[in-house]
Amino acid sequence: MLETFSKLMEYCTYCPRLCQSACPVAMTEGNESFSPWGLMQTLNQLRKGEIPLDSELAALSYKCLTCKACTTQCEHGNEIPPVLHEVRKEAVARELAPPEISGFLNKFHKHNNPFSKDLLQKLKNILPSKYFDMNPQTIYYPSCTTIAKCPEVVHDTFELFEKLKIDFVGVYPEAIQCCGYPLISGGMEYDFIDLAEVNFHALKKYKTIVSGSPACVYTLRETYKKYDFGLPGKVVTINEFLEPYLHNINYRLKKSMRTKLMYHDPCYLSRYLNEVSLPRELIAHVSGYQPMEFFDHGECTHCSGQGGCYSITSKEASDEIARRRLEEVVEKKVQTLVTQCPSCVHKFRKNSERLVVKDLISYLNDSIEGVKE
Amino acid sequence: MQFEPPKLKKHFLDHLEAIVGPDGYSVKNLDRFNYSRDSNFKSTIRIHHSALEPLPDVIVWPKDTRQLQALVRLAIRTKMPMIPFGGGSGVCGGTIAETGGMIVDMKKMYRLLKVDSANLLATAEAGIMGYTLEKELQRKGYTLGHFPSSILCASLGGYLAARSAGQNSTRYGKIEDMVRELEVVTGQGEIVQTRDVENGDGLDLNQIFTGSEGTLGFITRAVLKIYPLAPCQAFRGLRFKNMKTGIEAVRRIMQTGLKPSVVRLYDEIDTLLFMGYKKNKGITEVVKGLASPLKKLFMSTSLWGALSAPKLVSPVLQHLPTGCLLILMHEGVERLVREEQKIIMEICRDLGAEDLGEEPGRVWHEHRYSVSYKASPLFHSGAFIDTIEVATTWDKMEALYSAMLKAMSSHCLVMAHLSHAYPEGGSFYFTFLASLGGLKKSEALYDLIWDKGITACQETGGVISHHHGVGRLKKKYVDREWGGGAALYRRFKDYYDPHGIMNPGKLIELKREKKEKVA
Amino acid sequence: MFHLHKISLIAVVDPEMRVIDYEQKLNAEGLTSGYRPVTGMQTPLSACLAERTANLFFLKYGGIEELCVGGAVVTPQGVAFPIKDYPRAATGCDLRRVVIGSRGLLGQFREGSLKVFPLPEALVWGLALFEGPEAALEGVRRMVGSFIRPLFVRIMEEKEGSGLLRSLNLSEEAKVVLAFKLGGLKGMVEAEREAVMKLNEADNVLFHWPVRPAEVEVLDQTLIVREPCLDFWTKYAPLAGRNPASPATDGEEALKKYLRENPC
Ligand SMILES: Cc1cc2nc3c(=O)[nH]c(=O)nc-3n(C[C@H](O)[C@H](O)[C@H](O)COP(=O)(O)OP(=O)(O)OC[C@H]3O[C@@H](n4cnc5c(N)ncnc54)[C@H](O)[C@@H]3O)c2cc1C
Ligand code: SF4
Ligand code: SF4
Repeated sequence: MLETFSKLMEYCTYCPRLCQSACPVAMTEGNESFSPWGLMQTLNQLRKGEIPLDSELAALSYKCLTCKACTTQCEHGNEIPPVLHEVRKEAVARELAPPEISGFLNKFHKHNNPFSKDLLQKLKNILPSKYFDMNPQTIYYPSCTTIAKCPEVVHDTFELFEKLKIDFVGVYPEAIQCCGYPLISGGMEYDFIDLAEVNFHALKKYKTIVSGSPACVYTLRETYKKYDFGLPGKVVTINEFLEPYLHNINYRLKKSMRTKLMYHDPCYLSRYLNEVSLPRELIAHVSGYQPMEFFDHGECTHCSGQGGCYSITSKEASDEIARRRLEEVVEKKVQTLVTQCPSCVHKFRKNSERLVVKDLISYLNDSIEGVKE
Repeated sequence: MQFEPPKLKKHFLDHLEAIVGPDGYSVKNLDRFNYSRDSNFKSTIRIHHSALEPLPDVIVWPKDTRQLQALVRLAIRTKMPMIPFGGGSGVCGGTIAETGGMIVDMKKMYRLLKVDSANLLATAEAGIMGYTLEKELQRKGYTLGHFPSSILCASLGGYLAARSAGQNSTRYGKIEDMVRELEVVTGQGEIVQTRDVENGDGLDLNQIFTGSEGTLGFITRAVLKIYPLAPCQAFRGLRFKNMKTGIEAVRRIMQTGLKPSVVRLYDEIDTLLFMGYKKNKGITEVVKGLASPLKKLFMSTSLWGALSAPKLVSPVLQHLPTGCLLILMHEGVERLVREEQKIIMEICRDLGAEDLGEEPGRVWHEHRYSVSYKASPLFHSGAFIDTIEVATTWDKMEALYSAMLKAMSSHCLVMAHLSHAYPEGGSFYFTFLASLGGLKKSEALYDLIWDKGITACQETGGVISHHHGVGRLKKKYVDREWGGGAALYRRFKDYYDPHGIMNPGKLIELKREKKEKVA
Repeated sequence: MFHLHKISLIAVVDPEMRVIDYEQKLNAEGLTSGYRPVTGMQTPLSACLAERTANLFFLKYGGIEELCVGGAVVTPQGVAFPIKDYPRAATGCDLRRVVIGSRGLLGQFREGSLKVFPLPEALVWGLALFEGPEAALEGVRRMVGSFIRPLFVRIMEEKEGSGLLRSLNLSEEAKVVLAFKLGGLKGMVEAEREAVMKLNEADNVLFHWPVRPAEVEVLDQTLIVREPCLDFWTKYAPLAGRNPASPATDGEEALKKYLRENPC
């Protein structure tokens, strides 16, 4: 099962752990086993048949946020998450995965999303019915976490569309509001395939799918392809979609928005989708100045702690990761943190009382008053 | 791979849990496996053959000094060996639990506690990683100025415990020059504070604990000298005909009292490798036609030819007409940087150096941590590698270089650079490469190369380590190294670790151990 | 015993030699020890090593523990051992720095290897006039933070400062005078002079660079030769990035007690 990764795993085994201080899990839990080096040199022994796949080893494979900070640091470009996915899949198949994972799956099955809630119903409470009945070619795909944890982003997205006179985008109107990212990242491959298949048939008719959740964009665009559910339409990030409108339309800006803010790059946006400068350009465009930067920013960003099912299996440490990330915001005496990922927004809100945490879309929407006639 | 179960009693674990809580320790086999080695390449050779190093019985992650003190007291009661663990980047096997016991990972004590901008001092807990510490300081406009190649994987406690040196040490000094105060939990179970006695009255406890490699106690906290970030940086590359003139130039530069932050002189093979693996045009043109044959040699099958017959190949390589590359980096106020560059250029030109412009220096700086990534592909393709860093005074530099090269090069491919320089001397950093055979054969060859190198070093009057420390790897040479001075260390050991629990089997062979062996 | 290694710039000396004699021997060779013990030049080197006597020229050359690169030691029990000369090592504790300052408790140097330096090509006195002591401290911090290492610095407040200005026939009034002496290669000293002024440009600090031999004589005599400055650290600690001189810690006292009670 791991032979395709043999070179990578050997490289890590012989490496003097050069990506160690980039890995949020290793740095927060302080355990060498959870560092990319530790994970890989251990699994390398599994590959070589020196140790068995048991529940201890299975649990180890969940000690990763899939944030790819290690990959950015590693001059061999080694990608750790795909190796762990292989092991997680095997662990789930052999019922060796940690109990939190099977608990998660039960919860998921209630409404086909991680929140055990009817998210379509919730979505209908946020948006007027016209967006559901449009039969459009371009669809906004909200993501389960956005609906469940930061519903204002959905509202703000459509309000912004209105301000920019974008009237052809509908909202994704199906009962299942999850792309399946949590399933596949947790190793629940069969459940993912089932879900992806249903989603595929509902999504294939759209020419363009826009999402404000980078993990959804990545999953729908890339992961679906791997499972032969490649979507015929384009899957784009909300920024890619909005950029031309924000540049070409003449709108009014609110002066009051010139507050000091920092921008946090979500791993999936910056490292998986390589979108680093666009969000900054958009902020600069509406506010006239660049956001303040974290020391670790752009493709060297630091995960909020929510990624890759880690928050399910290692709750406390995952919150600790968020709190450490936020220390720099406090240090710089900044009150507003802007980012663009529902998981990051949720995680940061949960771990700070005083900070204003905003999705970039909400920030744009707040900054723009309306189109000049 | 068989993991022996840990030798621990239930009541010991109960006590342990009372101190650090259920999440503060682990007896899991996989954790024990991951704490069975550091970055000593002998262990890497072993893992290549799926051979284990001794496993610790338990790993503990204390959160503060009090917990650590309680742990030491528990260890004293139960005669449990304790081994401090920082980043595990040590290359001398200093963290290996030779006789089992408790590995204490310091990484949960990770805070930068204070930046005192009035006195230019920073206080940090020992478990903070070097890279994190530097980043947090830079965030505030300061730098520690400590940039070892292992900055990505080493901790502050490890820096101090093994007397680490950064690449910019010419300007900022080694870690022992930066330390002002320490907090230490000794093997007696006491918390000791040290003070800064530099240029003042007092017994220097800092210099007792710094370099003690966990054999006297745990370093838990340190006050360090910091500097405001330099406003200007400048780079330079120069080529000398041979090591002799290059060494002479570095000596003159240092003795003028200048403080460039980086001064590195590469010998012929090291120069070729340096230039060979850069995609950079400016540099490759300079060594056009020369870099490629060697690069090919190293990157292709002929590497195996070279490694299997080092006796034949080494002399050829050592006399390649590449010349020796000197890399310089300057930092500081622009006016001073310019003057420093001017003076240094004059010195180098007098010695016939060729100016390669700023490109080589800049490229070096961009890739300054890259070389550490080379170990993996080499091991993967069946070679092993290690480095020996030694130091001496200027009068012996050349002799030391030649003697060690000669002693080692019939067994492996060796290259070297002068890595750190001082007005009174400098350090040489040798890299050797040999081919991996069976486990026994490789281990024996590894030991042989080390023995040849270190013996040649001691015979020439050099010190056997400049910044990697001693650990398990070099301890048998330390008695000779210290001469009668070893007795001084043993008095500290008797006092601070009366129960002999602190990192046994490291740094020096203790009389106790020797006696046991005889018995 | 006096032996000079000119290549490594190390002098091997009998510690019973007085600093002044040692310095004169070196001066004859165009070299300097870089050492001005605060107890005066008559002090024998052995006392300086035993007590880690502070060096007035510490900022440029370091303290005695920085100057000593090796030697031969004899313990209180009469056991002698050599410490080889080396710049830095990572072989356990630094025996040199442990013996130095131990007041003989751990040993005494029978032979000392000390770093020596070329005599400075240029020496320049600088006086900077500041609004208050804090501003002057900040001035020093800027210098030290930029690696400008004067041989010597001294902050003089009120009367002391104006006294000095008067003795140089300067008419300016200043709350605080910072006097410092730069030394080294000509080009470097000139660059440092310019850099110091640039660093303090924004604060409109007034600088004087007394160059006439008579002025230099006055400054050398009053600030370096005549006044040994025994309270060096209480006053100047923060300037060199140290905590203000702190008393021995409990840990230090405990170790000393143990060593006294348990001669090996
Ligand atoms: C790729 C690579 C490059 C390197 N480059 C450099 C370099 O440029 N310069 C350099 O100086 N070194 C270098 N090293 C060596 C190594 O990084 C240093 O020795 C470093 O100081 C070790 O730090 P660590 O935290 O990893 O220590 P560890 O490996 O965890 O431990 C080293 C020793 O210190 C002890 N120790 C650790 N923490 C404490 C503590 N808190 N209290 C008491 N004892 C403790 C351990 O018991 C052990 O004996 C390099 C190593 C590698 C692998
Ligand atoms: S991912 Fe790269 S840097 Fe990290 S351990 Fe593996 S080889 Fe080393
Ligand atoms: S992906 Fe992120 S969490 Fe996972 S090993 Fe790499 S750095 Fe660590």
